[in-house]
Amino acid sequence: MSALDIRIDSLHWKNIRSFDSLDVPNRNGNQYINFPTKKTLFFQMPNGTGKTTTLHLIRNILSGQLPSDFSEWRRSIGDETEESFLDTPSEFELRLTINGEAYGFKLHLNHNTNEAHFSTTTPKGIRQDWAPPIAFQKAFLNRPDLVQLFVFDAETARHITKRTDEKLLQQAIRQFGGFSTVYDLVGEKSAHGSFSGGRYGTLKDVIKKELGKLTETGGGKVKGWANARIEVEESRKILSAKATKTERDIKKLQVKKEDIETKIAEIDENYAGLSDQATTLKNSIDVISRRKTESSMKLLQLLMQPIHNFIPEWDHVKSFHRRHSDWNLPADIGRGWISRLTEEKVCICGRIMDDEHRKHIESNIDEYLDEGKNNEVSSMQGEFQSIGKSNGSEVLLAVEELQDISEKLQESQELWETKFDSESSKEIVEERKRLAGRLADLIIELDSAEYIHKCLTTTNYEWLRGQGRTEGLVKGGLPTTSISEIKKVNNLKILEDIEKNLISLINKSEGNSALWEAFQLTQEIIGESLEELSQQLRVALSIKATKSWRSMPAAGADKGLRLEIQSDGMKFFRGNNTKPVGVSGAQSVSACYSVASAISSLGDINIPLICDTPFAGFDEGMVPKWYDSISSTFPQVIVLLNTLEKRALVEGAWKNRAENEYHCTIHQTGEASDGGRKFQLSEDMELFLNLRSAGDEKEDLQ
Amino acid sequence: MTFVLSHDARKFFQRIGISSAQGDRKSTTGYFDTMFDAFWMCAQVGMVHDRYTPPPSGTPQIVAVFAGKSVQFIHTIRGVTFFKHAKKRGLLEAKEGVITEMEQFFSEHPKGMGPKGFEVMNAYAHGGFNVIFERMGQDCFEMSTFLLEYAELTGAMS
Repeated sequence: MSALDIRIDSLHWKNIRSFDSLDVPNRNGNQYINFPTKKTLFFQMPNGTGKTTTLHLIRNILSGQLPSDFSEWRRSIGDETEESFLDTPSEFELRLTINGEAYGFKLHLNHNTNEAHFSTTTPKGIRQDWAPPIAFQKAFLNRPDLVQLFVFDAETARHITKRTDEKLLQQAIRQFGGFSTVYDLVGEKSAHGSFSGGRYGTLKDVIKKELGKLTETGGGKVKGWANARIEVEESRKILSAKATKTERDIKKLQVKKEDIETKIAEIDENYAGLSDQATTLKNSIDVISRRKTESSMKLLQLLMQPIHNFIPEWDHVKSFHRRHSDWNLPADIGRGWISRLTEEKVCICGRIMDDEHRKHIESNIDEYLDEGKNNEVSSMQGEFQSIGKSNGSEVLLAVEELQDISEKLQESQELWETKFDSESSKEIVEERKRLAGRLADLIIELDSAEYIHKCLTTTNYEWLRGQGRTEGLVKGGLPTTSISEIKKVNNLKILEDIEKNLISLINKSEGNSALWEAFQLTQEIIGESLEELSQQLRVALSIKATKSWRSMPAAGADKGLRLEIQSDGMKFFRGNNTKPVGVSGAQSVSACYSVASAISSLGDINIPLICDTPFAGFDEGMVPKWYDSISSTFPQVIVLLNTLEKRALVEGAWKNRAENEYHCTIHQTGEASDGGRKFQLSEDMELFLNLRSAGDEKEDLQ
Repeated sequence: MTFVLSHDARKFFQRIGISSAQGDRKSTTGYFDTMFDAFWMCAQVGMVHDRYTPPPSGTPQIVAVFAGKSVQFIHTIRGVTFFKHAKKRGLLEAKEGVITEMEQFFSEHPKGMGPKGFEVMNAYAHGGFNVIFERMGQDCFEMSTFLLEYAELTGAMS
């Protein structure tokens, strides 16, 4: 059995063109009847009854493609001179046996809403969509248009041989050769020889987009990041040198400052030694200084206590802990984690947590409760039971006391300085003033140097943000990748983070770059292999199809003709000549049959050939040969004939073959209830042989 | 886990003076007993000003237990910190949830904290120092000046 065996069982029209309701074969009441298992089925349908419409309907059903415009398929009433249409919903059903199982595909057309949909009768029930079995879907996966190779009219032949659909045969070979999905992966070979598109192409595009977004340097991202790293290195040298110099400056300034402080202290000591009053004043300053220290320490002691610092919500804090105490919460401290411990795989003691150990913990949980923690929390809660509250007065008093002492100390120091000025020599006063002025300047210089140093070296981003010195950090605090921003950075830690980020980005991108190259290489290798395989298959199929074609009447009569399936369609040659030649319409159509047959055998597919008026352009005597070759090439052939072609068939190929065929005639029997013509199916051989139409009369006259 | 304090904060308080540590103490009106005392002063301001800023990883450790004068107030310090934590987590009225938090927050050590306790105090101390620094800058090296500013920062006189 082939991978895919398809046989058409019956066809059913409802309100389509000439047919109000027609079943081929006729139903037995409500019961469907299948075609006999004969290979070739001839439907005689006089011109204008809907052969081409039927072919298109079959093509839609086999490809699963809904028609976009189907207004011409409406039920036709009236006659040829005054045709009109009904908007009654139309249906066309094609029943198939696919790999031994019965399927029915129905196309529903709503002319009022211009909506179409499929329903499918499957062995498992009815589905409201197009639902062929997996084997069918797999055979035509993503290429439903390939169905047209087997549902055939002169239009199809033109598609195959002309450039309107030059890729159809190539796609069919890929599809039925089983490697079209690999082409989906690698894409198509471009004019300049490399492969592009496909899934590899999509992946490469994504990576390329990532690698290729440009920075202000104009290069790809990676190039931009590499340049940014160079800038980081330059900036680091500059900032490090600046930090080293600032450190040296700070040390120098500190030495100078200490030197001046020492000199001032010496002057003061010398002065104090000269005057009793000054000595008394100096002693008084020392006492007040000590009192100031004591007062500070007293204030520190107060300010360390939460009771003085959380005045507005202190009552809430107390009630919060009292409530916990009332709930006896500390007694349960530890219970939770011990309970959760039983859900672990291993106990903290190292034992595997089996059921026995779990039960042991649960029954002895109280013994494991953390007594120490329990006591600590209880003590804390106890403290909040007894503690009072602050109204701020205690701290206020301490603050006032410290402020008073500070003022007194300042007054005493100013007095001392005044006395010093008046009692010392002018030179000493001047010297002290000069030193004090220099000291003040040094302090400012030192502060400035320390600030600069801190800006350069601190790792505290929050402080830097407070200072507005976070150059190099973009919105959200992330390190910049912009060279112009890196030039503005003034902190070594920020620089370090920028570099880390750049290294990470470059490493990641280098990985992407390698990935891109790997995709590129793989795409080329697989693509070239596929091209080679395609070429070999094209050659093999061309030989096979030529052999079959030559057995057919149209080509067989012209010795030396051969066909070639090329990447851009089918071409014909004579002998060894490499210049393509033109062929007749009949030769072209029969070439297409041969190619379709060869390609279906490639895919191990048995699919019927459905052809509309196949003898068009045939010379007399060609029909018998066509008949022999086609019926031996396809497992089932459905031929839609008009009465003239029927005559060619009967006269040319009839003989004793009729018993191996199925014949039916779709003929008008009167008027239908909707006012249109009524057509019925007849399997009567006499009618098949004798039916004639207006076209036949003209032929007779000629 | 331990209590941690940034380099900047340590420098700030060392400039004023830490009795238990060497350094260039500048204050003439007293020093902090321990760096932990300074840490607590920071944490307290962080809580009053709701500045919860987890310190970056690598922030220097100071000590694993309460030390210095703060030990005298350990229960109220733990209590008010736990209150702030519970408030932040929306657990002021909860019973079940608060037990779980207690387990993580407290320690059986008489001067210690549980892992969550360290985490919360470190975050408030880090945030609190930034509040202090924003107000006082790096020129504050006198304890008395620091404390007068501090009392205003926490609203302790109101």
